Amino acid sequence: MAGGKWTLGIESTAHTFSFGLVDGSGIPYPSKSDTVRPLEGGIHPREAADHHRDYSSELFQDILRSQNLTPSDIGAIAYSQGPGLGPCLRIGASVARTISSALDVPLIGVNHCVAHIEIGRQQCDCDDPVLLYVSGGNTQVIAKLQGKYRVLGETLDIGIGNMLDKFARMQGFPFPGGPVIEKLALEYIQENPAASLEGLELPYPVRGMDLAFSGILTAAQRLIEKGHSLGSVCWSLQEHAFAACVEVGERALAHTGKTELLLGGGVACNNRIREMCTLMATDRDSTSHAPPRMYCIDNGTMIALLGHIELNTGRKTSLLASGINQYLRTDDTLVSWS
Amino acid sequence: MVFIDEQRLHLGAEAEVWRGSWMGQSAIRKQRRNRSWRHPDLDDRLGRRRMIAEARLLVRLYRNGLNVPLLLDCDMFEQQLVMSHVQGKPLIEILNDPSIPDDSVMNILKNTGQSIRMLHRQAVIHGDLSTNNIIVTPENEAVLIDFGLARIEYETELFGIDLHVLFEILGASHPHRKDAIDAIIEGYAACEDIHGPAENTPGGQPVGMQDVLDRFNLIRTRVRYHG
Repeated sequence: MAGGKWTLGIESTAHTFSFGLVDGSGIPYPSKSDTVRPLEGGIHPREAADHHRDYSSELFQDILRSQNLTPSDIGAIAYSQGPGLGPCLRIGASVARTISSALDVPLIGVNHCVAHIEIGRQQCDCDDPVLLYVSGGNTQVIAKLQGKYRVLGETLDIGIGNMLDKFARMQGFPFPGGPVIEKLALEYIQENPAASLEGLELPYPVRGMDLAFSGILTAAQRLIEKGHSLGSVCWSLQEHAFAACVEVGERALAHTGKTELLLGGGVACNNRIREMCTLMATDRDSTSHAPPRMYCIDNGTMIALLGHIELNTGRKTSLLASGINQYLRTDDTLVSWS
Repeated sequence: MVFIDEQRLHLGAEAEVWRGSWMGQSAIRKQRRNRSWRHPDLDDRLGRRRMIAEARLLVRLYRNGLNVPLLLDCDMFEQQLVMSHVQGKPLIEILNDPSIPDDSVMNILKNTGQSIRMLHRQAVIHGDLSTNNIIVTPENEAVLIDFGLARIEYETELFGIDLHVLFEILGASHPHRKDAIDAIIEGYAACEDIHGPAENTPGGQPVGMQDVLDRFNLIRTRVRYHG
């Protein structure tokens, strides 16, 4: 049990290494993070892991300093046990084991995807949402059914964020490309408020509640090659890809009969997808929620929060069971809290 | 349109579904909704295309002897379709009803697989197979409804995805029925034995049963964090 002490959370599933805190009553505090930004290309798992190792001790000092804590104020260590990139996860788990052993405090390994849901619920005060989880690696629609968070639909190839980053990279923009695409799209629509999608049509990759994004990436690149302006293609790309995600979210609401939509993941920082979700939810007498941006992207705080919640249910992770699982499934976590 | 609304059955993602009467008979009215969050060009393209496709496919499938709702009226200006009402319960209710004996449920699931293969033999994918879109009649037959995302196709991949969409929903909504997908596959595979090889369709040879099942198994390994 954390008691009155703080729970430290460690996130290291992909490009970001992050420490976050919740206090003894589970109130979250901002994370201290650093993200790998490759000069070219995507994330190399081992290079990202090297980055995480190099930054871990400095960030640990930063997070303690941010709330004027000493190591003895830490009552438990939570870390992302999966899913994610193996080498990155291993660094987070090693750091977690080290701190836990040194301070002699409980260790708890949690599911990264479930952490996105729980920080969203806590921040937005929603009860039983359908989560539209849109990030680089993941694009999933998740809802709690029969005691576990279950994946109702997901991408059949690449994550939506990955698609946006790849498109940006083809145009020569560095990682992360999503914000650049958002800015160009916004400028385009502000200059052309009556813009038409005619000539800018892209595939609409909805397959029931599943999605796919590789075809839309190729088609968007083809529009560029045909000479369409970058702004117009960025705009069309967002309109098509986000509409597909929001439609899948709506299908999940219709299928489960739930009335709250929650956004999570890095792409949830985008204002256009937030706006679309709000319009969709309002249209069907439901509500749409999105946590502050610092809790949409990968962050240690959400890991600390889920660790705090799970410790309160009596679960903890022994050293022997503290190995990582790259393929940890969302429905492996029994949701015994409410 | 001479349709008298009685009860709204469902607020779907794309349409509102009403039960009522049409020319004195019990029928379903499907009213497409404009989606304000989608750009009007995209909304119009999807809406018109999906509704025309649904109307055409319902007629085609019905004429070819499939057990699908009968299209009664189609109004593209009002964006609504009227079709016959299929009596029965959605599969989701059957799977959630503990009072139905297991062998009966398994039988229904096999019939579901068979209905899906009967559709695929027409070179048509459903596009949105969920346990809400399969109606189980009092005779335990499985009738597929809601062809809003259906299309004529000849690519193996899309038929595999059709099964995968249902597989994901079964896993998420009905985790206690772990063998549900196996029963569906069994019914799907048995269809050729019962009805003989699939006949050619106007666009060519429909994708074969074994090819679809092989592709489905491949797609299962492709998504994130499969077991």
